[in-house]
Amino acid sequence: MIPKLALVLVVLVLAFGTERMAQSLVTILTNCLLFLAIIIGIYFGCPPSLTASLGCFAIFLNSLFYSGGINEKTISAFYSVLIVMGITAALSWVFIWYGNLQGFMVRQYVNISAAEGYTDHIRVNMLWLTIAVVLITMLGTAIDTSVTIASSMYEVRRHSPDLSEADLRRSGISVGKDIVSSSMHTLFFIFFAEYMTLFIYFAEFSQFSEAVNSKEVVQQIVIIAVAGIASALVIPVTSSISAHRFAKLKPEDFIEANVTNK
Amino acid sequence: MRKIGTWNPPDRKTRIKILALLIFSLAVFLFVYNNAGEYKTPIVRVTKIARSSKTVTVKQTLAQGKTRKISRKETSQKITAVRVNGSQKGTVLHLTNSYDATLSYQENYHVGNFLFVKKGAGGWTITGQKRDYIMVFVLLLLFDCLILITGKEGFYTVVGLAVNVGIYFYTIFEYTKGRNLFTLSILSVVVSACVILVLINGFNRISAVSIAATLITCAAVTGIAALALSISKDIQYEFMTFLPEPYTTKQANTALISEVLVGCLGSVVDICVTMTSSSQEIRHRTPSIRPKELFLSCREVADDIMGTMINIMLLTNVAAFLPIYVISVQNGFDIFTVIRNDFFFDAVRFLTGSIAIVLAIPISIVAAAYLMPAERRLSHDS
Repeated sequence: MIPKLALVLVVLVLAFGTERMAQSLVTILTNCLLFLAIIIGIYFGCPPSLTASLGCFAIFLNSLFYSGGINEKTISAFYSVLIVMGITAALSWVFIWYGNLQGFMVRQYVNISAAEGYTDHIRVNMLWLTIAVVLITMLGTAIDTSVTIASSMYEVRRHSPDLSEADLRRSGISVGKDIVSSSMHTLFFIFFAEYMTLFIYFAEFSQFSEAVNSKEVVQQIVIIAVAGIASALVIPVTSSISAHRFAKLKPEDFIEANVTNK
Repeated sequence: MRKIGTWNPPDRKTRIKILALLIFSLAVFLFVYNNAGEYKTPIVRVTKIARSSKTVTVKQTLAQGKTRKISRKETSQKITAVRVNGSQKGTVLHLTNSYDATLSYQENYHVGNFLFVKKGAGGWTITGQKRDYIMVFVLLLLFDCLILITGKEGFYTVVGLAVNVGIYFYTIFEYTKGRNLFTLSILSVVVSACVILVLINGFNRISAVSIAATLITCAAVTGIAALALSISKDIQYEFMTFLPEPYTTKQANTALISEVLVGCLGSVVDICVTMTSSSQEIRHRTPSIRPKELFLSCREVADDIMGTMINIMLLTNVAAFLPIYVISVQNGFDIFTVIRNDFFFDAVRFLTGSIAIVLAIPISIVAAAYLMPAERRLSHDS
């Protein structure tokens, strides 16, 4: 089924899409390859959490700079997402450590249990791996929000060179206000789909009080909620950093406008 | 673009609203934090922990008969805890727990944690950790961040999320009562699309057209997924986490297609409303534009967003694969078996979500071109 769907996707992009869209498919493919690299690295014995974090960082750099190029907009987005990633990692660590949200319960994957050949004495720290999972989850929406805001502020600055830094920041936040609903709903609906069977299982076999305290449910809700918090935090962070950096730009520094923004 | 004015400090009315929000959030949190009395199961709060570790070398037998020597650090905890509910409230209990440094299955408790306990023949044992207040805290933090950072739009987003979560769980609930999952998913998707669009955009023509485009796109993607499913060989559903057993292949297929339908909704709504608004904007500025040029112009707008949205689909769906992959491979399972089985469902959701994004663009441009009213006079503000 997978190859058929992949084929449909590629055919559709080539049929309906522009050249630029086809190029962004290459970025996606590179991200897939980077993810594969994480997987292969872990297979050959690299420490899982470190490999996942490095891979996450590589995916971050690829998603941001390969298609967007290195310019004022993407550099602002880079610093912003980096800062928010740091905050997210710290927040996740606190919640996962305190709430024991790492790892699995025995019933989560019916094929994992000591009897079936899995043992839990393996060379990985699940706490750090779960944090890496949170970072990869938040990366998509964080980059999207950050680039949209930075690009928009760039254009505002180009057309209104006398705007103060504070006003520039306000314009960024107002762009964030426009897109916040879409970002959140995109995240949540992917979450709904991913864990539909999880919730069905708990609805059928557990009581409500068991479900809301179980590691499985709380783990997933916390991961997606932290990703949502990260997406929200990206808005003021990007606005502030971009305002600070763009305020110093002179009219001749601006590159050709060849993009239209949301 | 919004009108940019000079920034004033939040006025008194806003300050009161912010304070009300924080007080409300704190009240909800404290209520859940202290709700041990609502539970019938005995709950204790950890007051003291003494840890001791030792390192042992073990010989493990893995899958496929391989063996390996591994050293692991095992920590045991002597936990002192006080009962917080029931008639024995206030009594002190002594519990033990041990965990491996990897923490794959076991838990490392801390002072302040709440634990569920059970009295057995040998004394009290820990049956689980109370986490409801942690979940509530993170959700409250998310909602408060949204409202404090983005104001009114954040508030509507929170309302939209809450309503959609409600619709979603109602769907799950009705499914356990025996109704067809796919029919329920269709209904929930239709209602959710309307709710989101009315909340973002209000009751207007753009919302109506966006809803139409969204539903057409979702139907198309579901059709494509169902078609691909029907002409492919049987799927290994044993690895679909939590699929309630026993199940028939038809039930499992229904679950997969329902997941496909629900997963793409958020991003499709986003694209449809962006395209419809852009189309409206372009027609407003150039009322005499020809359909083909309108199509090409709108497609330019889509240029930017398609790539990042597919990226979101990719990263959000595949991230959760890593823990199960790591534990499988470290236990010696064949890498291709693991990928083929566990990664399959994440990949299906990623690909169908991406197809939905790509399809949404032309469908919403066409819908906007044909269903929106004719060009408006330039004297009207849009």
